[in-house]
Amino acid sequence: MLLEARGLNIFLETRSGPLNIVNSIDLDIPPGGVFGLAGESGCGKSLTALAIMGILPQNLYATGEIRFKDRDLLVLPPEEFRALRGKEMAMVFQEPMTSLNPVLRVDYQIREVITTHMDVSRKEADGMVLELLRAVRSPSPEMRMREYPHQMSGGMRQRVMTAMAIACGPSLLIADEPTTALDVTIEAQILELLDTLRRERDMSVILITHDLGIIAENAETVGIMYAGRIVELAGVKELFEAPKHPYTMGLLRSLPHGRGEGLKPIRGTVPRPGDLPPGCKFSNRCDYVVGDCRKEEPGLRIIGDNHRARCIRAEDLKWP
Amino acid sequence: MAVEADLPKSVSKVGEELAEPIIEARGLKKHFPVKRGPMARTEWLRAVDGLDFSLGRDTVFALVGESGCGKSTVARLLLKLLEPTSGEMLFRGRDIAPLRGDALKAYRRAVQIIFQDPFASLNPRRNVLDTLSEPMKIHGLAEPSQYEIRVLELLSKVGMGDVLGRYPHEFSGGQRQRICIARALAVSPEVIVADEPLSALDVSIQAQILNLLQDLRSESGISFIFISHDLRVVEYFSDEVAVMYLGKIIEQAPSVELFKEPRHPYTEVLLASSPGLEPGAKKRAVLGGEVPSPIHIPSGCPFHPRCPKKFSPCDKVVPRLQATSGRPVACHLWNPY
Repeated sequence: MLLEARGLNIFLETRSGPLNIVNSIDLDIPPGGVFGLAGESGCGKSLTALAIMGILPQNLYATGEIRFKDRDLLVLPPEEFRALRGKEMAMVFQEPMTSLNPVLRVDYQIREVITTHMDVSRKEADGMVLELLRAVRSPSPEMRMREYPHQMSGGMRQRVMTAMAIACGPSLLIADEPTTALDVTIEAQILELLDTLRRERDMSVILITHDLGIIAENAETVGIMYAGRIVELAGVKELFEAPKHPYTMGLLRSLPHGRGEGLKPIRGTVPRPGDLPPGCKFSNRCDYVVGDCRKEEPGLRIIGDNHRARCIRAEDLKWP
Repeated sequence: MAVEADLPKSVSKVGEELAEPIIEARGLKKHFPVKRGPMARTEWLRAVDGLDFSLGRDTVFALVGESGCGKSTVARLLLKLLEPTSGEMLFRGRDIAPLRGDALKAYRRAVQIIFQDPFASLNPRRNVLDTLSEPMKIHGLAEPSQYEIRVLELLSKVGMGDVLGRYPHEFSGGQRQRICIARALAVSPEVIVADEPLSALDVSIQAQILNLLQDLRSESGISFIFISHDLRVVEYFSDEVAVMYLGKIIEQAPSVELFKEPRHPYTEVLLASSPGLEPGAKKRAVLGGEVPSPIHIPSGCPFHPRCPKKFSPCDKVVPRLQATSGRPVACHLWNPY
């Protein structure tokens, strides 16, 4: 495995003590695949990514184990982590507008990644910047590299972000909602670009998104998150053809298919992290809830080949 | 049908009224002046560049397109928050441009809006009762003693209980959007302009709000101008769809037909670009390039630089929105020029 997480917990420090936001996440990311992590806002998918990158905000901390190339990231000294971050693992963020520095030209920002991790001359670095902009299919890269972020469209900014992420040839790329701010035709371009780069450069990608369509199209394995937990983990085919967790089913039923067919939304709203129901965390919104669901939180059980779900009734539930 | 012949006269008159559009745009244009630097010459950003459409009673008319295509400018023109550069917007056959005073107030009552961001469109310092009774106050629709009862009615219409004293920050995005919808309903409007009402919400909440809009529609007969970039939602909710590109409608059709058989190459790509839910299905079509700036709209067909099917006349002759082949399409492939 390229990356393994075991019992990853993330806590928020509050005045009344630590609050558990992400709960016992186990992940196995093999080299060279696309792992999709999906869920609604607040489910903990982005925090999981930040924990892997070691860039959780000050008031949050992670426990458990994250092994990347046989190093435990959670106990890695900061200097060693810095040498790793941006070089062997990199991240593309959702908002290319806010994650690029507005007062620096993009060539400076891409070059900074290169010179931080590699011992190259300015001239060599410039050549690499140009090469990277070509790799992300930027039109007229010689001109583009001298521009500031505000002169660029959202799609172009996301290409620059991607160029920065792949600059040092990472083996793991985390893309957190890389296309959420973009129009559909540009979204299709960026996703195709990520897929091409992944193949060309032999990277593993963790693709984080709320859009199940993007997951269906791009991921090989999928984890569905709810209230800080992975509630279903399966191959993409298994997940979409026969979802086993009521939350996944609810998400799929919430999406319109064609005209006027009744939508079945999930009732209620996502509970706050400090306010989760006892037992199964989805039990207060679940249509299939039984008494036992509220007693004890189910584990992520093996349901079938390449399929796990955190539900005691997973085997009885019919789909569609 | 025989039944129709038996109906009294007054009913058939209602039928006639039904056919008359509530809102009609004729040659609508909105150009904004853009000046880059003090010495620069003024350029014009053509946000809306000649639109014709009409909204019938009890229908949902969707405007779709990518950012910068002018769909939100149309919403602002409709609400008379902007004045058109040329052309006119008609409400029940009357131009809205000269409306002032009471007539404008009446128009504002008839046409309401729901915005995209329910976090930005509610005043954080006003509680639900204040927010929802304000429209009644302005339009004199209820006695002050009736406000509470009326607001509670509105809240129950949008699926909420007694939350009169609570403030926006106490609600989730979905609940806030419900309050925004209740605010629009407070004045019993005829038309609601919904500008991306779902895009700030999570999938499961989107479905709840979409169901709510669907219920309102069938109960109250309100017409909607529904602005969205999410084609799945548009297909689900709308009767008629107009696809916009760089300030123009490039194709318009009943929703069923448009999704079954898109005709304009841009519509085709747009439909093919939205991801399906079948894993391993054919990768979506990828359209190269980006939407050009509306300051420098390409010559001829505005879509020609990105069009996979362009041929000789496309970069010279502007295609008009014509229904030569039964449905309005602005493309030389369908309308021999």
